[in-house]
Amino acid sequence: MNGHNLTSDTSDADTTAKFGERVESDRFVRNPVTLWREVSRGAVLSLAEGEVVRISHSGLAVWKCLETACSVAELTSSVAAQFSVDSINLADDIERTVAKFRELGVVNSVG
Amino acid sequence: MRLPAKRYDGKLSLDGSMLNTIKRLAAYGLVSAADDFQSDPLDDTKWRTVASVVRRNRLCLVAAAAVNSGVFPVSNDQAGQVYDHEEAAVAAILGTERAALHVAELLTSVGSTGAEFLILKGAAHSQVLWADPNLRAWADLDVLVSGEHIAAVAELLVGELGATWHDRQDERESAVKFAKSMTFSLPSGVAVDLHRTLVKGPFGELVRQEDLWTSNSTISVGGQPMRGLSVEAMIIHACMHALSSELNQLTRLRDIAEGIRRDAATDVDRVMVLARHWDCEAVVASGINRAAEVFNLEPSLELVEWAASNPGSTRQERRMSYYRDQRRTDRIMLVLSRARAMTPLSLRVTYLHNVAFHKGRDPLWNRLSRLRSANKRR
Repeated sequence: MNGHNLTSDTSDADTTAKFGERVESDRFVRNPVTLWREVSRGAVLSLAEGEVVRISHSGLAVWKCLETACSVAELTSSVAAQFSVDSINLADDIERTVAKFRELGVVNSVG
Repeated sequence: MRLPAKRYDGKLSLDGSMLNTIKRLAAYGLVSAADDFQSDPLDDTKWRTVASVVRRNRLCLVAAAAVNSGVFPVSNDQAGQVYDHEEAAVAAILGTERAALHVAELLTSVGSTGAEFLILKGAAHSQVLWADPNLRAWADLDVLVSGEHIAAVAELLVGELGATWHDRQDERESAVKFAKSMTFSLPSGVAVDLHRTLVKGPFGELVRQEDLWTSNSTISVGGQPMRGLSVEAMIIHACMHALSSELNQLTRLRDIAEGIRRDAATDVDRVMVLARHWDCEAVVASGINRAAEVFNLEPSLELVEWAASNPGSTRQERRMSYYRDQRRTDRIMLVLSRARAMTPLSLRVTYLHNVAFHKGRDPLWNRLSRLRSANKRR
């Protein structure tokens, strides 16, 4: 089975660069063609092309928030509350996760 | 006559305690299940046995749930294996759901109004029969299409979706007319079984097609509403399925157990009526008896009581024996018995002519072919 492992603390340098273009007010939402299911270690996503991606619990927390359009700030605040952590320390991870989701085509920007 | 329980552990011969462990694990989440497992993780030898049975019986999601609840103790390494298999099972389900969306879209282009279809087995059983649909794994797509459209759908699967048709070129005409189902592999690797009827052999022929299409359940596959059999027809199909192959036996029996549990939305009388209508009470009783034995179902459940009363006929029992035994004569009897069940007579004649004079998958042809070759050599 082909697939990726994606966790919210991924640190791909290229996605950080990509994310530099983000506008603060950008909002993101799940691409509805992505099929997914929760599993014990997070979730499994099936991309439009049939490829499979695994995400961790923290990635899943971001993914669940993306059911409705969210900005990175809103995502950060929501996930920080769920995991009882400081949102300042979390913001970079959330940015990278959203960037990775966009790269995979599982979320869309709604402007 | 109560039929002997079939082996559901494949080639393994399990001792009593291991068998009980596997039965209880297979029953996890079922209302009647007892969750009293061992207090410590299994040793490596026992664990390998359990893990193998779980994988072969597609119980990965049930096992993950049992581990997560804490009732089935495992080591960290064992937990990692359970979760790896859980993720692989879910990836397979999602791949199948995506394939279903493509196939459903394709079927709308058949003829002027599109081809009607029903989703069978895994995707449908999980949602309609199981109390918790997330525990039922499946790995291929089973679609029932009406006979008038099956040839067109087969061609479209190959032409439009790039599917590989598993039947050889010279078998296809025969398969379209007579096979219980035809198997295709999509480029994604997902297998699609295109069904003419529910099960091979005589019991497949005795299923009244109009009963399949007049009362249906609605399921969601990949977020899209699709149709499945009625819950009662699904239970009968699960019983037929448990008879026709040893593969994945524990999940097949659990399908039955889930469908007849006390809080299931099953019309018990309708199950009995359909079983009589399709001349397969013995098959249904056998499936229920075996599910009751494996999952320790309450004897007071109405369908368990009915199954224990041996409602089938001698003729049904004889037909069942052709499925259970794998001797060549039984396989030939399965073909002849199927022919006998066919109506109208012209179809029976065409089928037997096809079996006797055209290459195909039927064992009678292979037997006759070998006899002819032997005669020529003599």
